[in-house]
Amino acid sequence: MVEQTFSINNAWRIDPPCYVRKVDRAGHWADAATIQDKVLCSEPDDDGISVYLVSSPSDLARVAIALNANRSSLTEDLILVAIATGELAAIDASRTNGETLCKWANHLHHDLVFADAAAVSRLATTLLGAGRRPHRFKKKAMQEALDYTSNDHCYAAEPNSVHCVCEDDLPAPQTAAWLTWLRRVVARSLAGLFGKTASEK
Amino acid sequence: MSTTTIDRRPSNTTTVDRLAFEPADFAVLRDAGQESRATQAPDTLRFEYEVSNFQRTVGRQREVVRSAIVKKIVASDAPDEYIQTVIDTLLSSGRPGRLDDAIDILAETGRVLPQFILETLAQQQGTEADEDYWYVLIRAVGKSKLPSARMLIQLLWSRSPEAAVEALRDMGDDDSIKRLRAIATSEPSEFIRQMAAEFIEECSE
Repeated sequence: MVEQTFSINNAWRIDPPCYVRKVDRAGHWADAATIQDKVLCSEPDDDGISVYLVSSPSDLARVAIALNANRSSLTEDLILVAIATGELAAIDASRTNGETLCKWANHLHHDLVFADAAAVSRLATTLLGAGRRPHRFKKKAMQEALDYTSNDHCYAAEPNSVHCVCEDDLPAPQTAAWLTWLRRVVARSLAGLFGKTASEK
Repeated sequence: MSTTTIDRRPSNTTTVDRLAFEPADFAVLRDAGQESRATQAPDTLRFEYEVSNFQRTVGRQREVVRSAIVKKIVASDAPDEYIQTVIDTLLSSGRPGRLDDAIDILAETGRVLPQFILETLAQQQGTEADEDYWYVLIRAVGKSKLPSARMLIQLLWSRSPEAAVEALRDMGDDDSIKRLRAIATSEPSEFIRQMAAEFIEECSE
C-alpha cells in the first residue's frame, strides 16, 4: 500500500530521486513571490532551506512520519512539495543531519544553500513553470505510513522503540559527519571562486 | 533606583521654552521607558524564548514543552498577551511547520481562544492582518471542537476561506460536512470549491 500511496511519481509526476519540502498551507503555493516568502524560506541563522532527498516510497513514508512526529498527532495531514534534482541547477544541496526522531529521515536531510534571493526566486519560477503542485498526504495515507514505520519500530512512530530496522542500513555516523564537513568546505571554496567570477560577468 | 531630572535648562527660560525638549531629554525618556518595560516584560520575554525553543525540540520533550506553554496561557491573568506572543513568535519564524506548531498549541487552550478571537476582531475593526494569522486561529478553533467553534468559523470565513474549509473538515460532524457540500457547489473560488469537494470525498470513504 505504501508503495502506491507514497509513490513519488503518483504524487508529483516526476521520477525519483527528488527533494521534498514541507508546505505549511496549500494557499502558500500561489505565485513565485509567495512561494519564495512562505515556502522556500528559512531562519536567518540557518545554513539553508531544509529538504529531504527521497528515492522511494519507503523514504517518503519515513520522512512523512518523521515530520509529523512534531505534531500533536502522527496522522495529521501533511503537505509536501517535490523539487527534482535537475531543477536545482546551480543551487548547492549539502547533506546535513536532520533533527527528527527518525534516524533514516535525518540521514536523508539536506540544506539547499542559495547564493542570493534571486536564486530562490528562480527556483520558485522553475517549479511553477514545471506545473509543480504540493501534494497533500491525508489522514488515511498517514495512517498507512504510520503502520509501515511502526512495523520497523521507527523511533518517530514508536517513541519507546529500542532499535529501528533502518538503523542497520545507515552509514557509520563518524564517516558521514566527516564527509559532510569535507563537502561543505569544498562547496564553499568553489562558491567563493566561481561565484565571484559569475557575478563579475 | 536613582531619580532622573529631565529639565536642565537655566531657570530664566519661559514656560514655552521649557516645553521644547532637547535630544538629550528624549534619550532620558527613552531610557526611562526601557527601564519601565524591563520591570514588566521579563515573563513575556521568557515566554517568547520558550515558544522559540519549542520549535527546536523533538519527541517527548516537544510534548512537554507544548503542554507547559498551554498551561501558562490558560493559567495566566493575561492570556491574550501570551496567545499573541505564540502567534507572533511562530509566524515570524522561517521554519517549516511554524503554522502547524501554532495551531497545535492554540487548539489546546480551550475557552481563552474564542475570547482572544472576539477581542482581536473588536480591536482590529477593518485592519487586515496577514492571512496566516487568521489561518492559524481558525484552524485552531476547528481542531479544538469547542461548542462555539462553528459559529466562530462562520464569523471568520472572510478572513481565510481556506482555513475555514480545513476547520470544518477537522470538526467532521454532520453539520460541518453539510456546510462543506454547500461550499463545494456555491463558493466562487475554484481553489476553495476543490478543497471542499476533496474533503467531502475523504469523509465519505
